[in-house]
Amino acid sequence: MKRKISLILIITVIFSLSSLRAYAFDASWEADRLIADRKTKLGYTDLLSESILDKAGTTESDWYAIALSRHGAKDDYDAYRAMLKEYVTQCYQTPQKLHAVKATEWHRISLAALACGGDPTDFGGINLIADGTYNRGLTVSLGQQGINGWIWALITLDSMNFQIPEGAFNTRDDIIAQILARQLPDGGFALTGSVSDPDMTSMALIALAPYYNSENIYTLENEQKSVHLVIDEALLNLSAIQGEDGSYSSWGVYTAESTAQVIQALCSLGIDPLTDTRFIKNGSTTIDALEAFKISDGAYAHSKGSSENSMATQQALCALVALDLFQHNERAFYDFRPEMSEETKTAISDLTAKISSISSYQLDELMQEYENIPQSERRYVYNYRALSDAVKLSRGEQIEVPSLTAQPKASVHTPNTISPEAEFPTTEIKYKVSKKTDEADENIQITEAEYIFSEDDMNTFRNLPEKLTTKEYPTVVSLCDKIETCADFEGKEDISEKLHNDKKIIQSIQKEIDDINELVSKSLYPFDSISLKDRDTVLEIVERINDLSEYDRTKINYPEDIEKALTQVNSLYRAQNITIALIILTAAAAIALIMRIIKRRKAKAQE
Amino acid sequence: MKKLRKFRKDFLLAAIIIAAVLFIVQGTKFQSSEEYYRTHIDDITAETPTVTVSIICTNILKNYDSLPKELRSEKYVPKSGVILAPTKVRLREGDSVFDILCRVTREKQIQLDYNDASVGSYNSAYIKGINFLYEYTCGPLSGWTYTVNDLHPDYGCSQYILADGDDVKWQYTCDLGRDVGFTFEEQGEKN
Repeated sequence: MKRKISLILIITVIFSLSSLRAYAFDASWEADRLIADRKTKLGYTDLLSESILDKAGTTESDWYAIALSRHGAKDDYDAYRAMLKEYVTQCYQTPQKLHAVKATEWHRISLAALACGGDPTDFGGINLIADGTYNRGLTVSLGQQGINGWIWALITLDSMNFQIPEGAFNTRDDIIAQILARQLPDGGFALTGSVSDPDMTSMALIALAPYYNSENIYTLENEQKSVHLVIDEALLNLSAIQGEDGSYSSWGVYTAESTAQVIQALCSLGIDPLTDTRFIKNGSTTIDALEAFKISDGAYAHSKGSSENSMATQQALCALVALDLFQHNERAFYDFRPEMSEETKTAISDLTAKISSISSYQLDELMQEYENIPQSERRYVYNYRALSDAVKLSRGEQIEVPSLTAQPKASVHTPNTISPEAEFPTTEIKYKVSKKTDEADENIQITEAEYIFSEDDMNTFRNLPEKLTTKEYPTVVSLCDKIETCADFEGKEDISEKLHNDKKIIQSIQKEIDDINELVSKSLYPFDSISLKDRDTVLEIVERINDLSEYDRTKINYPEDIEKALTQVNSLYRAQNITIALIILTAAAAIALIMRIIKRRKAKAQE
Repeated sequence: MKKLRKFRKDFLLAAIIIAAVLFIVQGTKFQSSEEYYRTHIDDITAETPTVTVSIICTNILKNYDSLPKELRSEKYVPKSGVILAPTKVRLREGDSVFDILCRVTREKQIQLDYNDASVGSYNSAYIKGINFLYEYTCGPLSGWTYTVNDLHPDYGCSQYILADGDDVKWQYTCDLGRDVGFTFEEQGEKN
């Protein structure tokens, strides 16, 4: 009996502790701290600066831009957008454009462009959405890189509810069907093989989430599937494979990234990771599990016991932001559209509350309320399936509601036009970006075309050093981008000319760095083959490096190899000189000796 | 005695000649110890720690049809499937798998392309391509993997610090590691 009481006591304590902890978890605060710590570590005021800007357009940087923007954090999005545009423009000059195979390059960059207030359908004249999603198949199939090509194409299309023009290579339904067809017998998804992988399952769930309420039946090769059944099965699988401590494993290792992906998937479906018992193991939620990978200072490790890892940290940040958005009843992480009207929000929360006590309402009435909610917002009625099931049960038939993939009848069939529902993205994203930082800014809506070359911009311009280095490149590119689109002002032309000239100067410095690096790798290896013949090349390399600024010199690869080669050719040169000197000495000594012998012989003969 | 003195200068000259010739024959590369150290940092002797590195793409030969036509050449995919036969490389203190790969490919003039995750100084590089053979080049599950002493580490190649005698293999997989002996599914079930 005593034992029983103590057991109950312990359980009570555990439960109260866990619920206490659950409510005490502030995703927003955690995300803020992570961002602040990153900044401190890198020594940046804005996270999107210097080394992060240099890598705009790559995995290393883009996820930061995406997560920061969705978190509504204040940062230098203008600079990031300018650098990203620069990267895309450069890449588009190559035959493969962003990548020969990976469509996901277009997807991630489109999301990053949106995050920075850019328009991915016209990003420096390039339509990333057409090229990377519905018309990607004109170049290479979206599935060439595996299922993730389909998944991320759908996520990208839905990020701003982009409309697909008639005659496009793939429709939304094509893409959805491709994903559904790749469901594994165990319910989940994987890049390969027959065993589900939590990362791929989660990504598939994120992509399919907007269609959970769809009543469409997709006819696949051998079977018929509906999105909601596939999602339910995938969720069962995710619940079943969750680890003892709430974490998830991929490739046989429990990782922060897998756990973070699951958190994002749950949030995208309106499932609370902190309370839904399907995803709590031994009292441990996915959030507890994720936090167990935290090393310190807002950095996360890939696996238990390993050191901090960039991908783990970025994915953890995405998960925290996704949870924060969910907790605050905002749009899902990959839904970049402006927040819905208060009216729609209220309608959705009213209906959701009614469905949770469905027996007290008329089904037809609830169904009517559901249909009154704009089509593109119905995904946020997270418990609609309960209503759908009840209606089907009472009517004994399928429900006739317009397909969620049906496009609004509008005359917007040119690829460069975003659906009327979405409006022009940049205005609202700007608003989202500044929303949490400066309440006074709330009503200021700036579009990409209405920049003002501010006093700050002018100061930045004036403070550019006389002797430019590649370090100034992001600043100059960002200012160029601004001056191209800003309103006219006195002296604009001169500044614009100077800036574009500066950009060219830095590009030529970058070219010189690249050339030197190429020359080094071509001429200094293998080390044993370096001979005196290479001395001129080595000296030329050293001289060209010395002509660079101190900062640019750090961009030269393998300085120790150059030093080594220089030492080698100098040693060889010295050896050659010593040899020559010795030969001269020998010759002189030999001549002297011979002369003496001859002299002596002559003297002897005279005697 | 007088005669000996007479020949003294001859002896001196002869000695200079012999010494100079000896020097020339023996080599005239005199280096300070610092210079010597710098140019011999990667020399291998009986005492120096070394690791063995090899780069293999036999899996591409088995999936030749998946390879883009422009890469179907001995220049990129050698008939033997061996881009770099097992090569001994001097191990420097703290060298990672990545450091060694960089050094050996530079030395052997093999093309290498990677993402160095210098952003945020996390120190985990990712190998995108070796000898112009890139990830995704030979099917959706293709790319470079590495093993150390035939084990598959689950972290980045720049985080794996090598020890004397380690055997590093870079292998191209066309099946997400399964064709190079990585059996994560079994591991997953064990866990």
